[in-house]
Amino acid sequence: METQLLKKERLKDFLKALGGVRLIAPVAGGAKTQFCEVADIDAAEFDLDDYTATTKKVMFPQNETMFAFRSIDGGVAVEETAVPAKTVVFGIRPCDARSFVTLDPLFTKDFDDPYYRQRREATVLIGHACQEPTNRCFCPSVGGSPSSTEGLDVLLTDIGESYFVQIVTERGKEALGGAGSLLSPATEADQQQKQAADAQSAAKIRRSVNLKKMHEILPKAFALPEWKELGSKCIGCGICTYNCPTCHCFDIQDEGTPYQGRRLRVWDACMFPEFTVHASGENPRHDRSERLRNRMMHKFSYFPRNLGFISCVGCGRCIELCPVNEDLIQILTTVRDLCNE
Amino acid sequence: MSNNPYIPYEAEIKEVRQETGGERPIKTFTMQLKDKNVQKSFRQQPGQCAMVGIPGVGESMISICSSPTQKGSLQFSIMKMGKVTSALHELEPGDTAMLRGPYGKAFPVKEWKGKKILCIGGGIGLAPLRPIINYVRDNREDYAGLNIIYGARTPEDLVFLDELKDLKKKKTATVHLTVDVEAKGWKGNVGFVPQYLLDLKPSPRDTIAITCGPPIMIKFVLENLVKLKFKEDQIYTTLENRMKCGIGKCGKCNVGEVYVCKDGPVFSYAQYKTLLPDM
Repeated sequence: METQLLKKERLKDFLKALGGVRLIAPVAGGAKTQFCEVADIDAAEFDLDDYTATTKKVMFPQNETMFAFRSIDGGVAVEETAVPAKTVVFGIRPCDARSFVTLDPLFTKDFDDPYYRQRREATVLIGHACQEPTNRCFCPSVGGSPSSTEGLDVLLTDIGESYFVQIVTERGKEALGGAGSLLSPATEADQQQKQAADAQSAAKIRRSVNLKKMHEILPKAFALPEWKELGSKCIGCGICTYNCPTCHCFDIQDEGTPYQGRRLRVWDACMFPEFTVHASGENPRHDRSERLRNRMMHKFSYFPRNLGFISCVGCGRCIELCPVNEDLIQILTTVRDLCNE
Repeated sequence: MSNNPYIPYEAEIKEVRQETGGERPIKTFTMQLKDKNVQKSFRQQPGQCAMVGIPGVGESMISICSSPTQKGSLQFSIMKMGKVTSALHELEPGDTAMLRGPYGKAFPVKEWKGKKILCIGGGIGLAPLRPIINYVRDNREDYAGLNIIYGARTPEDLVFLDELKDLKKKKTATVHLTVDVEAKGWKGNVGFVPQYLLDLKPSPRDTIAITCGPPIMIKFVLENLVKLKFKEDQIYTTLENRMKCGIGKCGKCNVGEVYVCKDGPVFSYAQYKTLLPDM
């Protein structure tokens, strides 16, 4: 892996030098910091520390047009959406970058999902190492770390006056081609500072969950009556799923009239009763605790069994944002205890 | 043709047959994909489904009720139930619907060669069995027998009645019909399908039993097949759930770790039993 140094005061020049691409970055302002398209780099105020700002929408927007349709004489014409523009995401957290690694097999195996795949192919991820993990974070428990490069093309780490730049992939190297003059070789001392910064961040992680054999324990725990109690607080608001970087469930809806309109893909949430209800009114998961159980099973048993990854990156947003303090770590720990594992 | 699996294709409605009336009528639609290349690449096997839709309304996953031996067109028997199926019921010959598929695992009809085929259906649940029935009918010399046990609430709720009578008349199949309650003019059996199965006592020897119907019927038919000494690998059924993508991504139709859309809808009894906790 190639390593370089970037003076902090040259950050905006660095971003401008990436040139000719759509830049998405965490921008302060409004009600809260959000990742959005940056039209004017000089005017933008970046906020790299707001950990609630998520990037799932970059590859999998909250709603997107799948295709447009209109009626023509004797039939229907379908117009596919354009291929997405080349994009750079700056400031993505290592946990959020890892989430795309877990989503890749879902969207590309068996059937190709062109919407996700094309965005993924068109996007370079420049991460910012996490130095202030919150007291909800548990990324090491799911195989990550605050300085993980998995899923990233480039990782920047704040080492005081400079960013320590790790160029992880060929794609990252290409993207940084125009910014070469702003980078200087990293010295041994810089390396040491980077290592110290990573160690400090890792030491700030307070929570953990034992996931050993969890994919086998959960199916055994399926029929436990305690799920009722574990899910009793849940009010089914779905905020855990909307803020989860790995939740991928969606709905497909039509907008318009039979004469013209578009078919949309929109985020959906397994915590909503409508998610699974049949046209007949029958609902295979009619109880909130059943839906909470399914969410846990999906993330920590079904998904790893089917696609090879735990569907969780340990960002802790579901714990942080839950209005009734449902706690994924507590739930999984209780289940393990109940199974005497 | 697009490589995008979400893109549906135009299909012309060729024929609409009213199967049943009442509050939840069933119609059988014969459709033909308009694009010859799409038509050629759409190669379904008995038991597979397709997303049938109307732009501006939506799509529903419907089992293809015609056999692949019926070339050039596809049939769907659709009960008027929700938003999409109600809109589909408005379609007339010459109109256009949209199709994508085929989806899901099929019945392994080729592996069943040499066996007796026993289809046990209830209500609209005969639709997913019809491609097997017609496939066996069209390859009758490959199979040792075809036996159909079919029931519905009332005589008016029985679908494909003409076809069933024809199979019986031509001695292609033995056909046993039943209705839940006595009805004027009904001379056949009266009683629920699972009990009728027990009364008829079909032999499990060299037989494959396939059942589809309301979930409660499936449950008891499976139990009774076991009572009749059918082994797990001789029994198949199909499941359904709400679906949106049809390709295992939207997360709606899972039962345990399987997705009904791509791992089903056809399940062997051995698989079905592993899914029971989440049903």
